[in-house]
Amino acid sequence: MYLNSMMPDLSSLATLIGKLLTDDSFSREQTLSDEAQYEARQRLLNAILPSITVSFAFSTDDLGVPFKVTPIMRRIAEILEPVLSGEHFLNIRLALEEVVSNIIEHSYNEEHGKIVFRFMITSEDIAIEVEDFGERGKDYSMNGVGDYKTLQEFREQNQGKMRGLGVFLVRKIMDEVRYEVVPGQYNRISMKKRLV
Amino acid sequence: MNETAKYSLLAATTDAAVISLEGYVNYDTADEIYSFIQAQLSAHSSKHLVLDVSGVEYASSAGIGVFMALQEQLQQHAGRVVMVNIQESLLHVLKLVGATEYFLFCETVEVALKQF
Repeated sequence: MYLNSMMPDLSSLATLIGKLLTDDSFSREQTLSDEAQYEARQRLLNAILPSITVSFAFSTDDLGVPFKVTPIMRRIAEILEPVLSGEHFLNIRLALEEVVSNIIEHSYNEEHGKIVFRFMITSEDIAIEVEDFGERGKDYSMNGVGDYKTLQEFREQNQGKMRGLGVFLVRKIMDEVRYEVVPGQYNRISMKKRLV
Repeated sequence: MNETAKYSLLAATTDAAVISLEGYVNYDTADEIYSFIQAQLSAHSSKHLVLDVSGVEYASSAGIGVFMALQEQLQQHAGRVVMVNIQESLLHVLKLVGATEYFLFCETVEVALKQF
């Protein structure tokens, strides 16, 4: 794995952000209401941190394991857990697991491959891009796929089948989901989630 | 964290197979879990499935897909999937998907077996 960042020291910055978002002692000396405390934190975060951009890539050679979802997600969790609050972390990790699972299954047919992740995190939202470079066996621009309004509608079309819930779940979790397929070059999913 | 899945048959009759499931229920483990449960249901001609999911630490849609596929298959013969002692991590994903209404939930295996 390689890790590069626009910031010189991502881990300490991530720790600081996590602390600001979670540490109630931050303004214990003040008599601000919870709401005012929250706003003060947001103002401070906005002032010191317009945005963080993190990009990194995995290939199975780097991980030294068979191309499985779980080891990749472990690395992603290490990056995201310090900068996202509890429920956001759980949901966004889950959405990313669905995306990674689909890439491994559909782009790389469970063989070796490279996946590039870009996270752009502000105090208000997180934007994520995930790229792979495999040959999609089918159009992954998702025209119609995963557009089911309800689970019942989805199950009616997929009775007795195990697969296909991932895209449905990604759309449930994220506010915006966009697919871009450039044959022979890359497949990219861009997602956005509000954090406030 | 146990990042693999563990599963074992606790009891089986033609009424129900009782299976314990632990660990990760995701893309990496879904196929083996599904095959194991299918084989048990088939071997014992069980109508219902009681799944002790108290040890499930993490689930993704691939895991939920296993449960839903099994429920839909059993339902064809008026069977049900009953989840026993479900923990927050799995319940959270079921709620996100909107799948809670597909299953019965019980606190113990004994109570689950009385549902049939």
